[in-house]
Amino acid sequence: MREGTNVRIEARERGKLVALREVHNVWTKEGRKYIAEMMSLLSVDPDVPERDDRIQYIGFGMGGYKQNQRAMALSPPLSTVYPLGSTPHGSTGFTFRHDFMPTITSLELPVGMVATSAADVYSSGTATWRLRVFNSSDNSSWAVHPLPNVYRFEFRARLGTAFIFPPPPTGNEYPFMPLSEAGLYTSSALTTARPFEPPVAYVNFDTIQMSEDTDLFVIWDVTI
Amino acid sequence: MPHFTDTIEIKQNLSLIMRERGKIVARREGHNIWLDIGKQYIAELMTWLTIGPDVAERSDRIKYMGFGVGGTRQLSPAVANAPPISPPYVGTNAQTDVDPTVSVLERPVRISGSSSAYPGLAGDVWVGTIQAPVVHSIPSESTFRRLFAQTEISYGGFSSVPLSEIGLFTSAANPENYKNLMVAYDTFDTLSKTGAFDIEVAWTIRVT
Repeated sequence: MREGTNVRIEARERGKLVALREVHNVWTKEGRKYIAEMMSLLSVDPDVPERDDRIQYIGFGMGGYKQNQRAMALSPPLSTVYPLGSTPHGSTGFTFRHDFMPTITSLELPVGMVATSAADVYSSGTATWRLRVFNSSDNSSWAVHPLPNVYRFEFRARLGTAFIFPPPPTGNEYPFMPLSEAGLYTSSALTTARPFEPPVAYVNFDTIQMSEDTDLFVIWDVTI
Repeated sequence: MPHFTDTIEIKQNLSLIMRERGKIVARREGHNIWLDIGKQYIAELMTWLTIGPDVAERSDRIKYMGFGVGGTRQLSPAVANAPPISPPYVGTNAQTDVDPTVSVLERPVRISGSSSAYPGLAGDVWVGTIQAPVVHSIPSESTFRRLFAQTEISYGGFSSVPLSEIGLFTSAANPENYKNLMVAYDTFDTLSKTGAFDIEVAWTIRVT
């Protein structure tokens, strides 16, 4: 991974690398609160922890200042399914940036990964908004510490199994999904019903244009 | 524009207030060090070991504090290196609070128990339990507090104990073990703890 970065995102089509992003994230206020509470006890003897969730999910979106396919994101069908301005943050669009906004409390334009509706899914909440980090059949390899103080998440997703697409406008062309933001979530975050959950870490990146044939691979290092 | 790094940082402030019948007689305040063991602790605390069923990599939480007469800021070496302090609390005064590889108190002292040399006897208590619930003055801060009473540390033949180091421990520590791994550490100018004094400790951890 390039020095100064901690998130690596590869997009491959039929094995060929078509996009590479190496960026650094922000550990949000929610993430800082998470660690402070995770260290703490509510009561002692018996010991009751203040919280007991672990980092578990990743979610993607089309928001953030690095989105360079804004016309696509702002046009039907994407804008029908993912209307701008729905975030509780009151975002006016493509303003979230990871390098000065630890107050980020959600993805700006989260995209669903499994859905049953082509309508405004933010209001219906019928999508699956986050997926568990990739796990091989060997559960013991799930948690990776390349160094004692570094926690590495690995995530792989085939577009066909993730990221819903609204119906093409004319019904013929394959839709594209212009991804430009991602977030990490703990196990306390719901995977459905709530698109705007607060991430513990957030990152923007130059748009990756996902197609049906795109495989996405993410490595996210969290360093203490 | 403020710069936010991609590394989580742990910053701390430690406050020690020694009182005699409620009146402050000495105070120590300052920064201290989050150790490499502490960094590993947080990385592992966020992690699942396995999923389906979900098994956490570790589940201990910060629970104990302990004192010692070690560290480079011991200002009463004549007291610290002579009976009744040494023996039993033998050792050097070489540890600093700028070395993240430090792992244990250099010369830990008992909260209560015997006066035996290291490793002590069954029933000796080396670390004290913090107060709960933990205080969060702001969401990203945790303040761990404990009051070390007059009869703690300074008991029996230990009429005056020249304290000069302190450690923060998780619930993985064994209070009856004299050498527990710490997550945070500090050395300070000597506080001579006697049976007339109590010490209030407030250890604030801030995640940035």
